[in-house]
Amino acid sequence: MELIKTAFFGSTKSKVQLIGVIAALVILFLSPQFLNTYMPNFLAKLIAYVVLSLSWTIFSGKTGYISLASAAFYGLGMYIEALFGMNIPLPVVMVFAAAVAFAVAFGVGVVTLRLRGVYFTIFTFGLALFLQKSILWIEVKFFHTKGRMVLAYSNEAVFYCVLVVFAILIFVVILMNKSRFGLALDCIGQNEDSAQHIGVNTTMTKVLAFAISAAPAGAVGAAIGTSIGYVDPDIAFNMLLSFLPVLMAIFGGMRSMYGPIVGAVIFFVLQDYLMREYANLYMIIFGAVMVVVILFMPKGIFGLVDKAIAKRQRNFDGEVIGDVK
Amino acid sequence: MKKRYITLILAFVMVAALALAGCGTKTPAGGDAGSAAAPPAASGGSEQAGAPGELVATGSQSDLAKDKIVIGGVRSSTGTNAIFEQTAFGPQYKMWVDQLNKDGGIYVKSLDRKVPVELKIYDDGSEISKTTQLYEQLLADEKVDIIIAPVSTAALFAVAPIAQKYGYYMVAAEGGAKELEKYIAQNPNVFSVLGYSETQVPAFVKFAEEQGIESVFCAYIDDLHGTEYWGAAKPALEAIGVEIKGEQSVPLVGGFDANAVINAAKASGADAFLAFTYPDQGIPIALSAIALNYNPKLYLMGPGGSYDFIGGVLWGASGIDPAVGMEGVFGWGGWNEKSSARAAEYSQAFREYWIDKGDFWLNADGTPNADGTVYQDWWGHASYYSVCEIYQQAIENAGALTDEGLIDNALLVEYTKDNSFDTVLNQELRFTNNILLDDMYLGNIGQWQNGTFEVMDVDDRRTADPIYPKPEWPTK
Amino acid sequence: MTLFLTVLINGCILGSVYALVALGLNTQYGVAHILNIAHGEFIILSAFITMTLYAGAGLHPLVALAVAGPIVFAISFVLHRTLYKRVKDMSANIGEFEGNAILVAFGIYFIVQNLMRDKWGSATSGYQFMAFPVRIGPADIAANNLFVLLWAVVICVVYYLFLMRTRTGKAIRAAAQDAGAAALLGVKINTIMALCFAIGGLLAAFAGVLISMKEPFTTVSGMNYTTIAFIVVVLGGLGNVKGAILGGFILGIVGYAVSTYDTGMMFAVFYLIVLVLLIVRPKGLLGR
Repeated sequence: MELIKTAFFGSTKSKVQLIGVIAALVILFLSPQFLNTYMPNFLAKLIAYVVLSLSWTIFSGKTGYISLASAAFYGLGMYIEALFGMNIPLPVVMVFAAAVAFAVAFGVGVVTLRLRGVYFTIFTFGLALFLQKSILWIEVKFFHTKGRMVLAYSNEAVFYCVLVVFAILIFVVILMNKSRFGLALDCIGQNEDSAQHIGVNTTMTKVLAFAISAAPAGAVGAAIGTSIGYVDPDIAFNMLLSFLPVLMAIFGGMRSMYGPIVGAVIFFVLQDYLMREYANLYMIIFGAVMVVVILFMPKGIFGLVDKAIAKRQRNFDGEVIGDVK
Repeated sequence: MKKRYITLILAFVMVAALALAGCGTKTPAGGDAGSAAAPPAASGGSEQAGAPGELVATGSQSDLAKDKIVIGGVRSSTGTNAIFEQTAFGPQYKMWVDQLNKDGGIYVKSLDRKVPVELKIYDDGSEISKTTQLYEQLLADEKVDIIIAPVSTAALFAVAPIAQKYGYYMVAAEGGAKELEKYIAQNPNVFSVLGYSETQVPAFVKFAEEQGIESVFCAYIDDLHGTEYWGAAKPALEAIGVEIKGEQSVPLVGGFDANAVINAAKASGADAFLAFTYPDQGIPIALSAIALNYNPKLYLMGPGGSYDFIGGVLWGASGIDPAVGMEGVFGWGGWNEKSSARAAEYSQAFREYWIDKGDFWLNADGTPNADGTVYQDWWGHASYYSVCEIYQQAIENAGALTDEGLIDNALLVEYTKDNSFDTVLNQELRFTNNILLDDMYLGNIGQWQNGTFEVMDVDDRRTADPIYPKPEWPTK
Repeated sequence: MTLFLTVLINGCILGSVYALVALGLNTQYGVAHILNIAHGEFIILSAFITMTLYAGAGLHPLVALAVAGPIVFAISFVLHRTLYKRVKDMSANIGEFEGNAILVAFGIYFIVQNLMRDKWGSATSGYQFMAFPVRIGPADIAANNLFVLLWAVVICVVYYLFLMRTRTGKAIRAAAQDAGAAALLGVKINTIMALCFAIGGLLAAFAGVLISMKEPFTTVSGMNYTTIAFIVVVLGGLGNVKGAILGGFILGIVGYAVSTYDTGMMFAVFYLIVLVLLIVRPKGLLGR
């Protein structure tokens, strides 16, 4: 309770933030009323990207352990919807998918987060492929099929489902940033050894954060699955979705929670446009942007904004006024 | 200070995204969001003519303006399915539209004149989540006149409900599967033209019975195609007393060792080797069979076995004529210029058109084919072009505009259900429950003989005597 | 017995290629700390170069070793000198560098793969080379496979001797063990890192040339080899040269044995091995 108070109403900053977030969510919530039937579909996918990018940041952005498992959790959610969606309403399946993603991530975390970061990255990279192969093998051997029909929902329904996940996620992130748990994660990111020395249970903190970051990916995977109509393991587990969240988060900048959101929005719109108009070029541009972002804007767009502000303040007053961070 | 600034940015970005998103076509506010998309076709057609069928007689719209018909589609020009789009489907649609426009466009019944056609194609990079999103965009946002199908069976499954939701008519030859029957039953606006296990497997079983094949070994791809075909073939073969000497799944995604497949098949000593795989797997397996000199009495190469270019890939650099190399190899499908006069006419027109254009196919190093070779597919091409003919004849005989000025898709659906079409596949092609029964096809199984893919069905569609057992792979 | 021999011989053939593929990745990771996701793309690039020379100009595929090798070596060297060097200078610690390097490698993966796709399309490509069987004991083995085995082993041995016997090799080993100490002893660490990254590329090119002789490939199949390399490297121990070779052969034999039963299961079993290994022995078979 105390935490909620400080996180949302603790200072003018947090109050403004709360109002801003709620305003944005309300605008989004009302938006289908003003849009044609296609737009909710577009927006649902856009928000799904935002959720992937933001949830990736919860763990990897803070600790520096690079997870390439987003596709695995997203795909898992999608496949769970394909398995149960015909009989169970979507919101229930989404909760279940989130729980499964949480559990799988927890297990993977327990096994791999004792190890150095690079092993974790390799393992998470293989996870999506492993799940894809295993599910495919089970489907072919035991069910003599490859994929499953998915019950279609209206574009608005999918949109609202994804929006709810986004809303929950954003409040969780705000809470986490103000909590001891978030602080512990920051410590691990800065120096894991010293975090351990000051009494942080590093393994448990990491595992838990990884599991929390997986749940929203599972939930939106289930929701987006319904907009596809047919899901098989090859469709559900798309390796590109392991890398996109990383790129979107870094592109936006990970210092605040708005970076991944802005990064995802820009990337999704860009992808949507390039894919349609310059499909052949799209992947090449994608690769080039990736390299350029890492090399020249490691702190993302928000890093550049910070820099610009810092410069202006200095120029205006003729000297640096305090810490502009 | 800082946070407030960031919050503002966030709010601005969100609003901007919304504004950007909404600036397309805004529906009036306050409408029932759930059902806002009145299908363009469902309401329109019937008010011009009491019943769809009547329009032909009564509803002249010749005074209406309509300067082009937009055909929308999402194709896999890049990605894993690009090879099919480049060699199989794409060339048909391009040739068709090109020829239509050369003659002034497509004749629309109610307008009583020809209207030029425009293809509006988006690329999905072979990613189905993209495919469905782009169809949503084409149908709900951009409101094209008619649509063509996406590239691959799975994409077809995914898109069929979308076409139905927005009331669009879709005739597809881009995929064939038993499971498609289920999708078509739920989405009656969708028609399927391509043959599948239901027609092809029995053709092979009959052939096996005729030739007295005693045992088989099967390598099937671990996706819908492979599991379905092998799932159908295995019990059918067992039922006529053929022994299953072995079976292996081959992965669609990821590498595999073709030697293991061939060695296992060789060790089994089966009469017939069946590779129910796509070219990406079938080519490595065949090259391995050649290198290990594996000569079963019958070698069947699944989808792709009927492609002209397979011979070139397998034998291209070996100094052996691909026609000699492929002698006796079996594949699915089957039609050739001997099948019918109509087939011969189409086949020659197709070659002439693409030789003239000169960019049908690129060599492996990216240069255009110097000799202007046009590679044909002796399973699919006849079906794919028939799709174009079906669209054309449906519009010619039942085309009318909705109130929105779009082609009325409901009328096309009705027409297609009730009428027959004059196509390459069959001059009186008729759908049964939106699919084609076996007697609509020119053949279901074929064999390469002297560079021609001869139809091998055990009935009067057969175009040559079978070569059984298959001759050994040639050596220099 | 027949089955055992067939599995052993074919498994070694598969394994020799795996070892070569993994050796390149391991060299790049062991010294330069770059887990190169674009590794497989350079394998495929070399395979296409080989095919172009063979089918187009009628040159023996081995000639491609001398063409594709230097090309990929040079590309890799330049990539390290420009991109990775900058990433290294920017990163606060080795963990951060490894993370950023993976992402840069992924960007390169996309660029290279799609440039190749623009040039060569996405159809399966391949050519017949020494496509006849040779009888070894109870098993028929394709001649091209034996040829590939021979050359893969030769390359592995030469590379091993290079590491053990030459000055540069010793410098590389020193840098792999402790970059800081090696630098103090006068090893030009940045040059060695760039060199190792380039040698990794060279080995990828050699692997690509050999692979093209025995099996067809497409512009999108590079990731298959990268994945194999990852698995082998985890199996043998990150950065461990002997481990990569041993791991490659073990994985090849296991892979072929599984494939004899069901080809489609091979990758699932590979992942299972990695899973078990990371739980039981995360440092790999030969890792310390």
